Amino acid sequence: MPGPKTVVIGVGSGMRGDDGFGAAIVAALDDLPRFGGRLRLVRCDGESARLIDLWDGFDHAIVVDAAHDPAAPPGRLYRRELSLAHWPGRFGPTPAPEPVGNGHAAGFGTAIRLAEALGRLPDHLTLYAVNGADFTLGAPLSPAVAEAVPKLAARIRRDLLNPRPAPMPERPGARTRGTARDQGPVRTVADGPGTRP
Amino acid sequence: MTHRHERLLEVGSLARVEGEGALRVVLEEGRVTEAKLNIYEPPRFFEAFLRGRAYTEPPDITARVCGICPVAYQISACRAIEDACGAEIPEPISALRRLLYCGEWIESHALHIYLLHAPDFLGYPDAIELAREHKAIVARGLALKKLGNDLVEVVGGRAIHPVNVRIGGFHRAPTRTELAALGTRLDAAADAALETVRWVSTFDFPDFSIDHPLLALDGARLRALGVEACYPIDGGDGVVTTAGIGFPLAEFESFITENQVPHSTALHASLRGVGTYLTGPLARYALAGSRLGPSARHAAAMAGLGAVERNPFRSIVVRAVEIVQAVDEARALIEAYDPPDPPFVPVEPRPGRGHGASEAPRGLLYHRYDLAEDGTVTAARIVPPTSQNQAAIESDLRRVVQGLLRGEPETSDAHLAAHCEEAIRNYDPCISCSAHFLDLSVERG
Repeated sequence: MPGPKTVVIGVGSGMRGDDGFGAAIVAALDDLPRFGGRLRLVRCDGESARLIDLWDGFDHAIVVDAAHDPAAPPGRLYRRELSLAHWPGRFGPTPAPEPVGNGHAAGFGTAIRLAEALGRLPDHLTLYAVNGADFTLGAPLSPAVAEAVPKLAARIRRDLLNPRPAPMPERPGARTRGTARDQGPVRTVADGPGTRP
Repeated sequence: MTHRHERLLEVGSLARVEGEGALRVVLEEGRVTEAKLNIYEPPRFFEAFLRGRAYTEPPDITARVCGICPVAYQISACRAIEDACGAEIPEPISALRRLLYCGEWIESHALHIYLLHAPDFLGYPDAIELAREHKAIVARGLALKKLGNDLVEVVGGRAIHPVNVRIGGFHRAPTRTELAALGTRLDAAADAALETVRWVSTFDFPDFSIDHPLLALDGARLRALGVEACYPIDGGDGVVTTAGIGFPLAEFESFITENQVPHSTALHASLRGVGTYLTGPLARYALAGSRLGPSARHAAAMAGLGAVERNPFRSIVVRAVEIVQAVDEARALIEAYDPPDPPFVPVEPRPGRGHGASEAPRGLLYHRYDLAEDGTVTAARIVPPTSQNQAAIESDLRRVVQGLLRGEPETSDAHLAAHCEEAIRNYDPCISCSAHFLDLSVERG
């Protein structure tokens, strides 16, 4: 900062095991200065209309959520960049319609599609997702996901404090820049990160 | 030669309802022999884990039952515990509670009308496609919803699962300045609410009518005291029905019984001597429509609503009228607002039983608590609106399918299933208190 006016949105419930990853990232970044309102850290249940409201007025939205891919190791981090300049279509497929229609579960994909229809997408949107293992009610973060919290928080902190031009699309599966020691692998994906449980 | 002809309609995950449910309809020889709304969300045991907690805790714990209507849970819990403790809540605090509740009504009704229900009447698969062709309309709905959220946030401290509500009132009263900013937005929202009524009243509604008795909260005691009762939102002291049965809230459990059914984790409710009944917007409007304010009455007349509306497909119109009412009331409450100081009254525990209810957006929500001498909760009972409405929804499903088959016996399963989902959405069921996708399987014998 000062870079683009940015909101970091931690999606999920802190009471459902690894679904609390987004909330944990917001908590880990809470000591950051807010730069006179140019940075906002906020938690959200993921309901699509609320997500749109939260990124309204910001140039850059960083959305952090949990995903579930049983074929991938727990704790693996994914990143997807969506830039308005490349939106829609030229930056890869839009998130697939979610197999849901309710106020509780209509989440990020619906928010993106609805915001795009309404012309309310931010200029740039970064989605981070962690592959969760345990979404049991009342469970804490699983060890692998808990380990990913400081790694991703450090990555977001670095990007916020040392903003660079918005990254261009990277090929699927590529590692992002940074050292393995402090960031771990953050995979850039061209498609959705999987489905929330 | 005769042969058995059997079709099975199964909707694996209901779309555009709150929570997770499924639908199963069995047809034999063109007749509906079974119609079940299968609520398969696991039981959540809130009543069990409230036992042993302090009497101050149920408002915060039960708010977690639902992310759409947490205020309903908080206010019903407060009223029940305050009833058990013999606490009287001063008018300024009651008014602030009603303001908070208006926020939840605006938010929940706007969400249901614009994002969940309207696409059914306009031929769109979902709100996203609706937004592509009617951007300004959906934007209007989202603005209303956001206003409701913001109202809940300013009064309740947080838009989801508010944290500012406590037994006896609030932890902190919002300042006049904080509410004044919302008052200005509410002025604009009044026009948007009326536009919503105009818009939904132009939809093409199926010709359908229900005859279930309707049930809503009432303020009989207040009226006996000469206090003009309000439209039922944040509470009441009794229950009225169109079946000629009325009872004080303390007798709720003698008149309303709940039964387990094999296909649902929600209990089915039944009105003593009557059976299936309905709670929610149609019931409130039929039983308390005369208590709507001038703007809402004008909106209802403009939309062509009579004194009673019995077509559940037109419940979207009643919800829109209720947004007008909630916006209007919120404006008046903010205009007259004087921050209560202190923002709560002390409530001392005492042994006994208390009953409380309020009108959640989708219907009456009843709480009952038994307290020990030190205020420990020894028993809790929660009767949410969706479980009360479940039998009525199943009855509608049976009639909707039967009616479609009568007109077009070979109509496709997909067509039948789509209409069943629409019939369910009429009731804005909140299954988590008690989903846009349809898995359909067909068995033909």
